[in-house]
Amino acid sequence: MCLSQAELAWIVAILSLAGLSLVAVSVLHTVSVARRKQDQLRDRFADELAMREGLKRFLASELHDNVGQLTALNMLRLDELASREEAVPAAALRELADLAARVYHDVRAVSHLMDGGNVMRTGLEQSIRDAVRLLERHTACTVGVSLPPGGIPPLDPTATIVLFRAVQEALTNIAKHAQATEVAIAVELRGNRLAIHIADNGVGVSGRRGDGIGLYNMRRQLRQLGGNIQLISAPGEGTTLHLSLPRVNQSEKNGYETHRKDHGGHPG
Amino acid sequence: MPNMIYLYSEAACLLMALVFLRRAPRHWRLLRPYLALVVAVEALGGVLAMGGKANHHLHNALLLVEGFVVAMVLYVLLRPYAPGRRLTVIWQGWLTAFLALYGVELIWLNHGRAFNTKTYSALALSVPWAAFYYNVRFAASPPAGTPWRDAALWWVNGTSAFYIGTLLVHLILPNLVHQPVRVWGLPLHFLVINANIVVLYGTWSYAFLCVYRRLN
Repeated sequence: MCLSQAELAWIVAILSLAGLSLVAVSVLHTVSVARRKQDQLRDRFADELAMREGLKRFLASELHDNVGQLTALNMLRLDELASREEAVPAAALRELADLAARVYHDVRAVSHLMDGGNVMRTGLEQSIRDAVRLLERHTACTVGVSLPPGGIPPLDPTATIVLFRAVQEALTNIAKHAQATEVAIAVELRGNRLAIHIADNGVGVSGRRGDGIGLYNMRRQLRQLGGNIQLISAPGEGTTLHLSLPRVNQSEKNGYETHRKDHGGHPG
Repeated sequence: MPNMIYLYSEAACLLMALVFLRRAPRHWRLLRPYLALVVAVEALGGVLAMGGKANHHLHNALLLVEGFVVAMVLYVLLRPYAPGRRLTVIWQGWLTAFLALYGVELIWLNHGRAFNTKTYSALALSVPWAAFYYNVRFAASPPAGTPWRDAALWWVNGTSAFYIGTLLVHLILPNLVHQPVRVWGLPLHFLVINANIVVLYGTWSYAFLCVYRRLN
């Protein structure tokens, strides 16, 4: 088939226009993907910032409320003993040593809980127990912890950190605002999901306080990992927080990688 | 004169480059003498064509500079997305191949009697691939700021659009020139080339504005 000059000219013109349109579509697509990516990066940055700020608040509060108070008490006792003319009784020195030991243990516990790497090394279960011990030491709360048979399975590092920070935030809120005497933490495995319920018998939260920035950040971080959070509370009737996350644990992930390497495809 | 629209676009773009790229990084400023050369070649080529004389020598000379400048700017713009030596090796290899093809076509194939269509086609086929790579990397790790105001994105894609849009026209230009199809009194291939030139220099001008806004 032989094309005439006119047909050739028109085909070239149309193809040229198609080329321009293709580039225009490519630019539109690139910009749209780039904007989505920028939004994701912005969200991640906001999450990290919120998490860092939350940790700073936690640290500041622990230092002020516990370490600071104990150190101040120690200083007063030391001043009092220094002003005495008679010999210092052994019991008073023991009391001071006990106070110093409490400060030491508190600093260690806080530093342990602050360190995300430590949380990953010791696992979610141990980290929750450490946080519970800290809560019991500084409040009048009795905390009951129930775990699934065989304990909490090892989780993905990100999931471990996010879940622990959520539990930590919940316990800090209880210590600060709930005026609770009993707290119950229950960890459950439901199919492929890990659920944590934290219930207290405190004063409860109003709708407004329940939607605070801490809860908002927890929800966003959990949702990014496919999880969810639900807060149930009424004034005077305590608060229950339900956290859940898909359970993709480290060993399953490694198994998947090994399978892919061995078979070069998706596991069937 | 509507048939001088390409020259007006080039001159306007040169003006934008002179105004907006004064304090821009070196690769952007490189475009100012290049655009001045383009305007000079097109003006002189136009004069020669009106006098019935061949002007392909001028366009062949410009093609050599064009290949170097386009490759140089693309290299600098792609550099943040492709650290390491691979891009440098590809760039140097491409420049060597381009120079070799240019020399072979000019000396042995055309004997200096026609425009170096094959060398132009090699350039026109390479740029869209570089633009595609740029777009993929840009989307994967976008720089800070509004993507619509990214100078490099506009420059790269405007250049790519121009080469995609003019490749076929250049390949069959000798056929089209002899018996041109006329639309609004002008040859259709001339209109196509002009439309592409307007897009090219329009996007470049906007890119220069984006560079200026980023710096001020």
